[in-house]
Amino acid sequence: MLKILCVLVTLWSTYLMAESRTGQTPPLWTSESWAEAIKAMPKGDVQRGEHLDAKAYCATCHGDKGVAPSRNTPSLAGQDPLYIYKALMDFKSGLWHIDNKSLGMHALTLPMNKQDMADLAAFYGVQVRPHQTNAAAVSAPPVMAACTTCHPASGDAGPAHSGPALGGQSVYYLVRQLNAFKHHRRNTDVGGLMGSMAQMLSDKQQEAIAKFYAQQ
Amino acid sequence: MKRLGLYGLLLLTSHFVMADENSFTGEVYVNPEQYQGDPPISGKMAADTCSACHGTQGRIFNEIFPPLAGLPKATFIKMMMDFKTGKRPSFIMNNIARTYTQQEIERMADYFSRQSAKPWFVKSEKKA
Amino acid sequence: MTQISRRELLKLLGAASIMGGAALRPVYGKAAAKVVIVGGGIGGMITAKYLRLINQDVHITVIEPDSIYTFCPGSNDVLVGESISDFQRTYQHSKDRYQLQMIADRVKDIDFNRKQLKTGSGKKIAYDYLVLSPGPGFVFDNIAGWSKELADSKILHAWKAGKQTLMLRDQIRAMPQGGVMVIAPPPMPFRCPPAPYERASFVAEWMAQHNPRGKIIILDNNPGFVFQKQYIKYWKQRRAYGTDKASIEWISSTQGGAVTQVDARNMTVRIQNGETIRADVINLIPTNTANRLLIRTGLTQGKDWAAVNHHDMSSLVQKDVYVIGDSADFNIKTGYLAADQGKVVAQAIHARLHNQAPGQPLYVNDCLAKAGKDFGMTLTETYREREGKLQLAQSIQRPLSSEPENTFMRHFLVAAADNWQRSFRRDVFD
Ligand SMILES: Cc1cc2nc3c(=O)[nH]c(=O)nc-3n(C[C@H](O)[C@H](O)[C@H](O)COP(=O)(O)OP(=O)(O)OC[C@H]3O[C@@H](n4cnc5c(N)ncnc54)[C@H](O)[C@@H]3O)c2cc1C
Ligand code: HEC
Ligand code: HEC
Ligand code: HEC
Repeated sequence: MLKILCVLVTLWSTYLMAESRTGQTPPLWTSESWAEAIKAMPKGDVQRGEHLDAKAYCATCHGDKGVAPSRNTPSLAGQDPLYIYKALMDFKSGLWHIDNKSLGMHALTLPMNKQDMADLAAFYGVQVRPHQTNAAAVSAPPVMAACTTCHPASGDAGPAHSGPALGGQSVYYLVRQLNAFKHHRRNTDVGGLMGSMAQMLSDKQQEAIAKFYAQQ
Repeated sequence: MKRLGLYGLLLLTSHFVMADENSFTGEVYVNPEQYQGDPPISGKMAADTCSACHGTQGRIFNEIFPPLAGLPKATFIKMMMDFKTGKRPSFIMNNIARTYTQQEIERMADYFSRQSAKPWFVKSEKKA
Repeated sequence: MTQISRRELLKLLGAASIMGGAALRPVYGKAAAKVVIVGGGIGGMITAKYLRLINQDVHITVIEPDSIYTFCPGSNDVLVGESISDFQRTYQHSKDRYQLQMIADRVKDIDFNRKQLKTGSGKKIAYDYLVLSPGPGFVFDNIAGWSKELADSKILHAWKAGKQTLMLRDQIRAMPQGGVMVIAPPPMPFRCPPAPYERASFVAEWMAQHNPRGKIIILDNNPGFVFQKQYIKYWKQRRAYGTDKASIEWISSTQGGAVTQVDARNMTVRIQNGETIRADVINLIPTNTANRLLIRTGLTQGKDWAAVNHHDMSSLVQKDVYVIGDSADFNIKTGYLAADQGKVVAQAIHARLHNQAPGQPLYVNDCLAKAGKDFGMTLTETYREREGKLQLAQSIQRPLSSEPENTFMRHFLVAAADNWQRSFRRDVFD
């Protein structure tokens, strides 16, 4: 039985490593290029954002007002608008390309300009983040101490845009992202910081942390 | 009502065109509940019509099409019924959901909830 | 350990290993039935896989002459630069995982009384149940001046993806600036109804970059086509359709567009309205029928398609024979439906092996098509069955013509169409 498990684990990791990224990779973020990008961010308009959300059918996957209907897609409600704005830029440029799953967001951001992205970010930013009801049921694993400066245990976004809100995301989504950071398949983080954080984590620790944030 | 979006409205108000009309224009729709009395289509048979997109047994995890394997029954049914009524507008899934009766959706929910939430096959196809 | 029989153990191991993609090890009983599948294309391979998944006590043999299968879905992308290897699969993985016996040969004849096949190399292969999915047959002699030889060399069809796809691609690339390409769809039904128009649309998009004065003329055997409104709208927006600068022109059968004659030396075609058109590339798509093998063995009863009971896709002519895919009598011929039919047959054979009636079938054709890199479309088409006959229960397209333009939908459906091709290949071969 152990053998079978080993095979499964190996196969799973080959699967994660298997696909390489598209053609040329867009440049990675540096703190300088990111500071420039923040300066160039237009002011978001919540109402326009709501209109775009309807027109682009974002709710199909991200749910009504950005509250995800299943494990498969992240919630956007109450997320840090600056982070959403950045994520949309990264999808469009192709920098966020974990595997083919990221191609849906790539296609949807192709027709967007910076104003559209800022408006959508503003719209989700003012929605209420989904909170789980049995937050008390799980306790934070010790290794999570490495995360909480940027991702507070409340599940909310970190102070001064230090990290996106993780609370209420599905275990499936969080583990997918942590694996992607760990194996350099998601290189969207400014200065490669999240990548080095994720490399510390074993699969078990990933799972435990994900379970904790999912319940916040 | 506003949340339904234009396509939702189109769905709700849509006319039931008879099936023998020219299908080039793409507007043939017979309410599947009309087939209620027919011998039941199994959950697997109905679910296997999804696998070309969602993967064998709904187990494709690295594509735009989301995996269905292991979704809790209630979550699955709610999503499909929201697609079917147009409450949840989608570029693709509204028309697909409308093809199935409520009972077929429930049987599929049963089927998918019992599938392992692991990728069907770990091989890489070349990147897009 | 001693409590568990070898058979059960193997079953358990099989169930565990399948999650990681390893082989399913069948355990054949003495009386294990022999299912023989002719054609290792979409219909054939889906049947083999889905039958094995529900039944480990049956011998499954697939007879297919080629060692590589090239998917037709996506082959139009190859014409404009995608790599053909992305659309190709070998049989090794399916053979191992689903424990199939693969025979590299071509079936030449069927002896229904002896339940035996004869192959090109003279082998005799016995079956208990026979599944035929050999793809369509092509007719060349209804266009004067055309022949199979010409179709393989100069006046190509590329309606079976593979060598011809690459040859046609090279012809398109070699066209002089301002050259003309003719695409001539046959009368319906033929495999993949939107594909000729998709092909025209892709080549026009390619030309806009590489041969801006080039032109495509569609010479049609049909008065209209699926997604017509969407294609024409897109061509108006992007290809100046309907003006004298148009890079796509469509001459319908009502306007006398059907090709009656081709002159390969002078590169001209003659159409029904008497006009003669000169072109640099002539792409004639032959009239489709059932595969010749089925016509020869009487399964079509002198008609164009193999007569089947749509309840389980069994032949109306011979016992224990199933016909699926492009050869079967079915309103529309697509890979999606060939796969649905294969699943129905797998269910039916499994039921019969357990002395049960085949379950109720369902055929859904969820087609995703593209007009260009920024315009995708979708069609949901459902057939239900009553008393052995099909009933069209739904056929609805997006975007609807009554919907306002939605650039997000257009872009998303292109990504979804590409996704479909990938996930479909995986459903058939993984
Ligand atoms: C350009 C183009 C684009 C298309 N795009 C789409 C699409 O987007 N979506 C879609 O759903 N469908 C599409 N199709 C249609 C789809 O390819 C067919 O409907 C599908 O392949 C039918 O499956 P089949 O099993 O009947 O035949 P095939 O897949 O053609 O397989 C038949 C196999 O049988 C083998 N064979 C033939 N004769 C014998 C014999 N005597 N003995 C042994 N083996 C034999 C052949 O070598 C072949 O491998 C497209 C078709 C074309 C031409
Ligand atoms: C087809 C389903 C689908 C649709 C429609 C969709 N998304 Fe997404 N979205 C996803 C998936 C899946 C991811 C995660 C991608 C990954 O893991 O590679 C995602 C990720 C995101 C993220 C990053 C979230 C995070 O926590 O990091 C943002 C922001 C986002 N989407 C915004 C949008 C917006 C805005 C729209 C509408 C224009 C939209 N999405 C429409 C499926 C979808
Ligand atoms: C120094 C700040 C910092 C620390 C410490 C940190 N993160 Fe992050 N994290 C970020 C930032 C910034 C991002 C967004 C990266 C980007 O721009 O794509 C992020 C993204 C993530 C995401 C993806 C969120 C999404 O919606 O896609 C997850 C999951 C995550 N971090 C988990 C962790 C875990 C677990 C730890 C502890 C082991 C951790 N982070 C430590 C800053 C940090
Ligand atoms: C033509 C491809 C296609 C087919 C066939 C298809 N789907 Fe989908 N499905 C999608 C896409 C794309 C999405 C992502 C949301 C969207 O854009 O509609 C989706 C989303 C879903 C979701 C939402 C999942 C989530 O977690 O948000 C469910 C449930 C679903 N499909 C069920 C089915 C079922 C059941 C079938 C078969 C009866 C089916 N689908 C057939 C393409 C398809």
